[in-house]
Amino acid sequence: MSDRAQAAIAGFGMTELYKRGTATKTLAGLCCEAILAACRDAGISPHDIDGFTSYADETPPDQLAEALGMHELRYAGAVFGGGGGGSCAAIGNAANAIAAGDAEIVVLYHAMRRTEERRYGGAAGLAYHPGSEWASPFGLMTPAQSFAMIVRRHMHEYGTKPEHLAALAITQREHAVRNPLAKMRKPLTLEDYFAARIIADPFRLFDCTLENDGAAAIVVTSAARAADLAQPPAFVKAVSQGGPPSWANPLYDHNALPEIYPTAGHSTIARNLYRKAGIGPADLDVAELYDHFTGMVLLQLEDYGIAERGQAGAYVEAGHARWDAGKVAVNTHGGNISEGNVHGTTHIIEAVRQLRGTSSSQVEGAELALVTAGPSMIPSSSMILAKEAS
Amino acid sequence: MTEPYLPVGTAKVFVNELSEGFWDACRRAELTVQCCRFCGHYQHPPRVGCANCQGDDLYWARVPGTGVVYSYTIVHHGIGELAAYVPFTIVVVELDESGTRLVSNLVGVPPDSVTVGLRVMVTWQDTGEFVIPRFRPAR
Repeated sequence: MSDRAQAAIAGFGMTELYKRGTATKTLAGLCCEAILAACRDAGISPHDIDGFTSYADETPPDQLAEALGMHELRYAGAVFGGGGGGSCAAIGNAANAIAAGDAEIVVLYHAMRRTEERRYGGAAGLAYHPGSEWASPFGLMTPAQSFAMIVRRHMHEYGTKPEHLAALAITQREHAVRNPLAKMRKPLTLEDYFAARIIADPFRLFDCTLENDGAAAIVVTSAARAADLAQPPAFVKAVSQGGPPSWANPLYDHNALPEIYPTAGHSTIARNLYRKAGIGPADLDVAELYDHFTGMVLLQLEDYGIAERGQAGAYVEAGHARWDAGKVAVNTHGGNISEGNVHGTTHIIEAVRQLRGTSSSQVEGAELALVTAGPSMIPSSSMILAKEAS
Repeated sequence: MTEPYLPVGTAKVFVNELSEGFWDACRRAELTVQCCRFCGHYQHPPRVGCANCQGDDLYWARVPGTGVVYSYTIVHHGIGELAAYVPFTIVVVELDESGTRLVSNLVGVPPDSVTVGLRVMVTWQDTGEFVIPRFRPAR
């Protein structure tokens, strides 16, 4: 690809995913627990860490550097934006820092504690954000409502149906049932899906992300260093971030250009990603796509060319998203909606499991994994991880 | 449907220097969209300059107040005070003349009568502090 040193993911760790509001540790405490687990997985000491990368996280790196007894902090970087849009860009920052020689072992951390005031659809929605003067007077205060309108438009233009959303929720639940770490391990039937209450039409309860407490951490280092560590490396093949500016607006004012309104806003990110990676959608084995809402996964399948525009619902309904279908499997851990939600860090972890061959829903011979961060305000991001070095 | 459609205290109107001209026009029952005096480009939300020509001479142009529903949601899970007002609609209206879209509500009809493509016209809700544009099916 290029002559710069490639980065690799050498380890990962997670805390238990607690029912929302029940974690007894602080955010920093949850981060430390996940980081220590990631260090054990990689076979390094926390003293070896010399950099941090994160996104939308509230724990500053100095707290963690002290708590972990690090000798020296050489790099710390964060991605703009809230929510899950920065997860892959944070890996990109780590890879850049490593290639530049700024640090050798950079750890991504992210933690969530969903206390009452932070609940999704909760009081935080009433606060002022830039642009909310065009939304809150009309009761538009939650991501569910905004993304519901994007998906509704997709339904209008392409004939996507509620049954397509249901098919994805059911597929991801099947994956979660197979995943011992998942929060939701009871199979979901079509009847269950339609019997659940509506949140914001067309989204019903099981279209929406779980809310839970927990943290996850990922060890990024050079491919050369990773080769000497405990686990087979997952190589960072390409990372892309950004997005088309007008797509950033749908959360509030819904003035995206007509050609990108009913999308996940990832079309430019996808184009740049595939160009950097030198591959196309047909080369992928598995796609761990950020799932705040089922419908937005369908739109990402189209933005990434895994399904033709307007055909993602049919792709999922035909069973192609299943782990054992022989197509591009989707959210093989169960995703935010059935495994648990750490703002997309768990999607990266599942991609690494797939490339190591240790997923609970292992795609046979998985060599190339697409991971996306949350379609939300830009910059959002995505990346391709590979079993082989470039 | 009885007005007000949504509780005033919860559905806050955050006015700033870019948006105050819009809300001032609402008090006169005039629906306006920011327009560039130089190139005629309409844009929403309002910005400090024209996104088309970077001109900085922008004004609030009155539009007819009619349009079509571009997309919508029917909210069944309301937060805070809004919980008492479900189900209610949120609609994205593509406005005639400017072609820009405005988030609002469809009022005066049951929520489940909303469809993409429905022709609508503006109606005004005076909350005392603000006058808020909502939409009803066009006659």
